Amino acid sequence: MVKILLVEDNEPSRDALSRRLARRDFQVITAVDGQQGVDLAREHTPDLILMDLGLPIIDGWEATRQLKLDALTQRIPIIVLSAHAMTEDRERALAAGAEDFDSKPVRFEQLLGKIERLLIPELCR
Amino acid sequence: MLTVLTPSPAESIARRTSELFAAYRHDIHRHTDRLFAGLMAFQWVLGIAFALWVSPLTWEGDVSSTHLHVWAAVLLGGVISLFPALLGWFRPGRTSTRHIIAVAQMLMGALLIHLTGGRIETHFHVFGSLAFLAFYRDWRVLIPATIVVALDHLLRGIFWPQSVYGVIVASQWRWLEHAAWVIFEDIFLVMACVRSVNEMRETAERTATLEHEVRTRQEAETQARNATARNDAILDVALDCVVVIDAAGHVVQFNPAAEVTFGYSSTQAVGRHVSELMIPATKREAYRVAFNHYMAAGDSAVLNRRFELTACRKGGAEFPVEVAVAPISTVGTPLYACYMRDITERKSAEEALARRTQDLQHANAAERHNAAQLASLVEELRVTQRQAEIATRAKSEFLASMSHELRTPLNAIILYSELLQEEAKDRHADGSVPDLQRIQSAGKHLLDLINGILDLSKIEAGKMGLELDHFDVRAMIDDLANTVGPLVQKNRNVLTVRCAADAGTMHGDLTKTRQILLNLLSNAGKFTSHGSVAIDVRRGATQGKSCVEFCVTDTGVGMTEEQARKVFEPFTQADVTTTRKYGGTGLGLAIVSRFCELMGGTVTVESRPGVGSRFTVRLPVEMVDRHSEQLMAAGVI
Repeated sequence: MVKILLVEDNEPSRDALSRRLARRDFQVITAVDGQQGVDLAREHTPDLILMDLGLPIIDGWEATRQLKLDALTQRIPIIVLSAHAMTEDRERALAAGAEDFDSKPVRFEQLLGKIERLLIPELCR
Repeated sequence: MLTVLTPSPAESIARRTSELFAAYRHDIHRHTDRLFAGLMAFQWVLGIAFALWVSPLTWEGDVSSTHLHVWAAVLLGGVISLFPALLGWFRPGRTSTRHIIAVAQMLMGALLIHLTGGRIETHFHVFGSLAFLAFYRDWRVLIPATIVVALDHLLRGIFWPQSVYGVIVASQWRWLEHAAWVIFEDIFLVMACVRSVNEMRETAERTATLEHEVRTRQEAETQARNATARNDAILDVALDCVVVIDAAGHVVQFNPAAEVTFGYSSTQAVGRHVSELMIPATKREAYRVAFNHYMAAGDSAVLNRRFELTACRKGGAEFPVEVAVAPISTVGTPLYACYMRDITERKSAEEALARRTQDLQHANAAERHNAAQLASLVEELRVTQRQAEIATRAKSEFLASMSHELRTPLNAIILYSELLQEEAKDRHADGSVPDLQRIQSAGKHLLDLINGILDLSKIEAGKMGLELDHFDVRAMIDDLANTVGPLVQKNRNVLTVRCAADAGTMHGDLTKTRQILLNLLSNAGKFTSHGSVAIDVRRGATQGKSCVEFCVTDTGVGMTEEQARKVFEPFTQADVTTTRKYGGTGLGLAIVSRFCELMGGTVTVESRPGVGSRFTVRLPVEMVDRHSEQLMAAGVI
């Protein structure tokens, strides 16, 4: 079962998205801030991380940078989800090491496509 | 070097004395020569008369003949007198003439003595002749005369005493006695001559001195006359008023310029006090006091300086004058020359200049004030611009954060509505699905609005750039048709795609081109039902540049002319009911228009209510990212 770590501070968004992913047979772990996200990623080494950007304690960019610097977690693909729809947000996220970027509100089917594309090598392994 | 020596007065007097003396002497010599010339003739005649009277006839036997003496008187007298008489008459004044005359006169005396038979009385002729010769005032002529007398008496006394003494035998030394008497007379005559010459010299000297004095005085008088004439001429033509006053302030001289300026004639002015002539009545007393003060103190504060004061003309008109007073060095009463110049014109010129200078200063001040105002205006503008920039940035930031804040709850709304629909379908509780779909649709509409507003604000803030790439037009149209097909067909419309075979490739922003066409097609689909929506693509040219022309035609509700005019402005759907009826954000066409502009293209619309609309977009085949160019030009990139 594919394990996804969802780092999201907004409770309704976290709940709705995690439940929708669970309905598509993903094992979903959730974190409410950047620090917890980093900790849980190290603990569970998920197959993919969905990372919000505006997070408490440490923000999504910093968390992404830390995860990409850690040998344990640097191979885990990260999709940044941001309500910041500006182009520079996307560029900053990719610069921090994220594999992909999607804007909120989440277009769920599109997000699933991105997840699948990133997981194919993983699934084939 | 040539030096012209002007003779001193003493020298010139001495020279003149010599001249006069010589002239006197010459005059006397000439005069005496002429006298002797006459005397010679007279003596000759007298000699003949003596001869005739004393022994006119001689009897030798019975022959009576003219006496030899008569012939001697005629012939010898002629010989002796003729030559000197001619000399005395024709060549008077010469030294030789008077010496010859002296000799001749003495010979004539000798002849007369002989003719009178040696009468002692006739010897007085000798003394008379010597006295006559002394008329020459030249004692030298007495020498030849005396020698001739002495020799005559010596020789005749020896050889023919009868002829000279009237006796047959005479003492051998008798001539010596005669000569001694002659010399005795000579002494007196010489003394008289010398004395006379000295007197003559003194007279000449006196005359020369007198002449010199007269000449000197005449010269001085001439000079004085000339100086006066010169001064008068200068004063007459002087442009300045020249008024000469005495120490008491009374006018002594008043030149024509002063007459013209002050209005008094010279005769009226002379003798009057300057203050009553030229000083305004109100200032007269002060002027008098000052004048007396200066005169008493010998104060030089006024003398030889230029100063200005107010003068008045005859009649009382006041005017400014420039005055200079200079003392005139004269013997006797001191005089002062006052030079005055009417400076009314100069004053008014100075005042005009001062006024003009002041005007200029005012103008300069105004100019500076204007410049300062302009500078502050520019500063204000700069501040305004900065404020506008800050406001724009604040607006962008506001929009960004608003967008962010709206998206987060919207995210939950959309996700939950979709989740609930899924769960309802799972439970087969389909009754709530339409409501959930409405929630979802409303959420997506809100999202479109947010995205549209964000796009517009980015364009307006100049933050929207182009991502240029080469793409195939036909491939893009096909892909687009697949996407919008279901949307258009929803209202039972037929979508027709006609793409010219030569559409080729474009170098442009694919995403924005797609967005434009997507907006137009979905719009067309929205406002058309049971009709047709068509897209025609072909190559064209606009403003001499190759372009691709996209035509989106529908058979929908259409627009009035007024509606069509405003269709590209944000939030201006045909009317308020339109949104309710057809949906849409009201931003789609605004974004189309802005994107076309951004890509260097155009969009136009033709429409008729109830018939349909046609939107024509022309985009250049080769797009230029003007935004990036501008940034590059500004040195940002």
